[in-house]
Amino acid sequence: MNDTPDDPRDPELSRLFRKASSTEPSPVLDSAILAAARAAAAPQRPPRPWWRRLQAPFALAATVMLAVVLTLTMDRNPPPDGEIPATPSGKERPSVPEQVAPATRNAAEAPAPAAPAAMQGSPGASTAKAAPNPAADAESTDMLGSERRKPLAEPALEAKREAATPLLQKSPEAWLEEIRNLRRQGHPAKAERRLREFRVAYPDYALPEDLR
Amino acid sequence: MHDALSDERLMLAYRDGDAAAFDALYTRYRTRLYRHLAHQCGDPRLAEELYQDVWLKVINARVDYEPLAKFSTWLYRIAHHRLIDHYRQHARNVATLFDGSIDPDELPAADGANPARRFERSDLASRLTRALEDLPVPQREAFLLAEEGGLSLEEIAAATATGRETVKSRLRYAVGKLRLSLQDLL
Repeated sequence: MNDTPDDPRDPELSRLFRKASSTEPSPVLDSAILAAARAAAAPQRPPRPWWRRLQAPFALAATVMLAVVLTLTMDRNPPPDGEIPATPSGKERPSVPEQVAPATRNAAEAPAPAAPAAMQGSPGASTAKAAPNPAADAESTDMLGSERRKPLAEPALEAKREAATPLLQKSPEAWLEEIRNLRRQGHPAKAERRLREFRVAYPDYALPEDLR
Repeated sequence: MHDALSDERLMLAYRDGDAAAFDALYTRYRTRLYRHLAHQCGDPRLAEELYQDVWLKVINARVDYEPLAKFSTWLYRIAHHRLIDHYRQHARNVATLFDGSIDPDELPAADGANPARRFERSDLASRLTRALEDLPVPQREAFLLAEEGGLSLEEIAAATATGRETVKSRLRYAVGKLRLSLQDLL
């Protein structure tokens, strides 16, 4: 393109140059470049509305909040002992009466006999109790054992509550009578311990002669 | 439909998402740009690499494209910068020749002037390639932009970031040397 008078291009040389030029890019290269151009020009996905973009973070935050609130509520208002569901494992269950029974054996002994009577009374009763678990044939012996232990556990819980109640609820006279009975039954150490507890509970009470 | 549009219009259409506009633009400059680069570096494999890089730069720059200059000038400026980058990485002495402060007569020949290869070439294309390889790189670039790119002196000056008079001088020296080398063919 010799567009100005001072342009030093030579028409003869230009003709020779065009005649000799024959190289071209490879079709593979052409395809790669055109594919890149098309990919770049492809319409991008429209941006999602803000509420769709924040959906996942909000859901996560709500889940975390719910978990925290539930945890705090459970910590501050634990369910009463009676509402705690029984553990499904039979291995942990027997330990409850064993732990409680020695301390509260006297209190637990009274209601306990009623349960075996009910268990032994009619076979239909045990069948009815086993009904909710039809696959329990092989474990029926174990089931029976746990059913027998169940009535023991309830008085044990009562005894536990009784033990937790303040000693002041017992009248001084009844308490002293209990100490005398312990002495009479040949438990001087236990009687002495109960007497110490009595003195702590009633420091101003004038003890009778036989207990001083 | 795209044939009637100018280069700049096609590039604007491509910027706005018309992939077919790029196809038309590519077809217009495909051979010219490739030959320019192939003659410049003298290595077909390297030329393909540079050629692909230049087009990818065009593709990536489409979002910000504004027709401030002719598309051809813009395209060959990208090619010029890519060549300078290549020379900076592989031939620092060549890269310094582009600052325009050296007398074109004193510019050395390119490294591609291999006597063994030259001896093997006998046909027209080989003679021309050999003559181009003997030119200093800036003179060769000015000549190729004029012949392959069809750019005016002003456009070459804009594409290579030099003055018009420098381009004119480089082109005059290039034409003189080529005429001398190929005088039996003219």
